[in-house]
Amino acid sequence: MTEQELIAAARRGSESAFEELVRLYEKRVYHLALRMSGGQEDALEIAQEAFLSAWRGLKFFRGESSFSTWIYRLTTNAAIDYLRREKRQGQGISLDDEETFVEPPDQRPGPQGQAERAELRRLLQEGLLTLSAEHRQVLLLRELEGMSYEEIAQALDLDLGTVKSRIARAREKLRKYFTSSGNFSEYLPSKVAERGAEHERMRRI
Amino acid sequence: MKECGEYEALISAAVDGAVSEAERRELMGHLAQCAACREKYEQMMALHEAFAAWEAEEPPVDLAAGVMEKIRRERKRSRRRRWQRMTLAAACLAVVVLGVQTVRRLPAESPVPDEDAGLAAYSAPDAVDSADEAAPKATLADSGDLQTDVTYFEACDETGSGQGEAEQAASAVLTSPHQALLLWMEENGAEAGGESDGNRTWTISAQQLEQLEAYLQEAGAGYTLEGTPAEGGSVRVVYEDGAE
Ligand SMILES: [Zn+2]
Repeated sequence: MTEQELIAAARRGSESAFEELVRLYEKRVYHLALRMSGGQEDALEIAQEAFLSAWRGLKFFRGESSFSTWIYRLTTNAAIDYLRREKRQGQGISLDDEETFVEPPDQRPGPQGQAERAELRRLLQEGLLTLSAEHRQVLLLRELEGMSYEEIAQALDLDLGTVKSRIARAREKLRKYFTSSGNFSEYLPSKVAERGAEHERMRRI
Repeated sequence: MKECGEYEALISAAVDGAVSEAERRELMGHLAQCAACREKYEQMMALHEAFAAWEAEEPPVDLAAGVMEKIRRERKRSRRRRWQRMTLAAACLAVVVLGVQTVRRLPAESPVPDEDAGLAAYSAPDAVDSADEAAPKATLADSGDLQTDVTYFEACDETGSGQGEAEQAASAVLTSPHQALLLWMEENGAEAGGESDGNRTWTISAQQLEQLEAYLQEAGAGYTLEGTPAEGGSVRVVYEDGAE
């Protein structure tokens, strides 16, 4: 069955069709939930909640948006609700509480590779959690799920301008998080160098 | 001239490739003479690329299985509630399905209240609390051609949760006994064979019988079908007390 057929069948109450949809999206939904919350246990709860909302809300899903943007919206909303319930919206979070942050940051420049990439992601996650849940939501819908500004605006019922400025604010905060901790040149140096070259090219145009 | 801060949204949009040609030219003009904004652009782009390279991890447990289990439990609960609401209406009536027909029987001599008393429990909420004692499960005597033990059908105990529930049930009701079964027969196009001596009969196909069985199971209200529907054979609906 195509995704459209699965959705139609699930709307008629087919559990097996819905289960297939869950299997199609569970990895992305879990990833999104994990980046929103920073913890495995939290992410599992959030992802489960998102799929349950989808099941209950299927009869209201009319397909004005794609199923994927709909489920991603449900996921980030479930995360915001969950974190609010748990009184952890990101800002002022005690980083020591999160399993993700148990390992202390390694300040020495390491060799390119696995360890460095892991460290970059740890820092990204840590930086993400310094953002408000709403900033994290728009940024992740854009960066992880590749939703366009228009799709995000429609999904979250926001102005296009709000989406644009919220993403910019979120990026700027994250960038400052990296620069203030002195981690930019360490973990993203090669990228920056490449960008520099590209910028030279752009400037010549 | 714009302040650097005013370029922030434009820089971010440029990272996403969401700028017009004119905007892009304007931004390039500024970046050419502003090292700070140039660095901002480069770093935002670096972050963007780091996110893009961030692969999704497999969930550590079978997420789909967990979700489906919750959904099934939730569905079963709501079906059971619906079933209970409907069966409340049929309080204190005995039911069998024969070949397939439903037969309504009342106990000849048992501590069970008769039909009127059972229905009275509905209209009189203050009587509800005593319904538990007033309507114990009982087994009816064999009645000749029925050849079945008819398990006394008891729904009165579900009213224990109070008046609200009883009212809800009453509003969902009740023109004939065992509304849930009647409704099912109707919804599933069972051919009604009329009524005589208070017995209602339906003719249903083997396939419908299977569906009825599934329905009763899903309703989870303690019903099972027993017997083999051979030609002229009988199938009975048995209500087991103590089901969830
Ligand atoms: Zn500038």
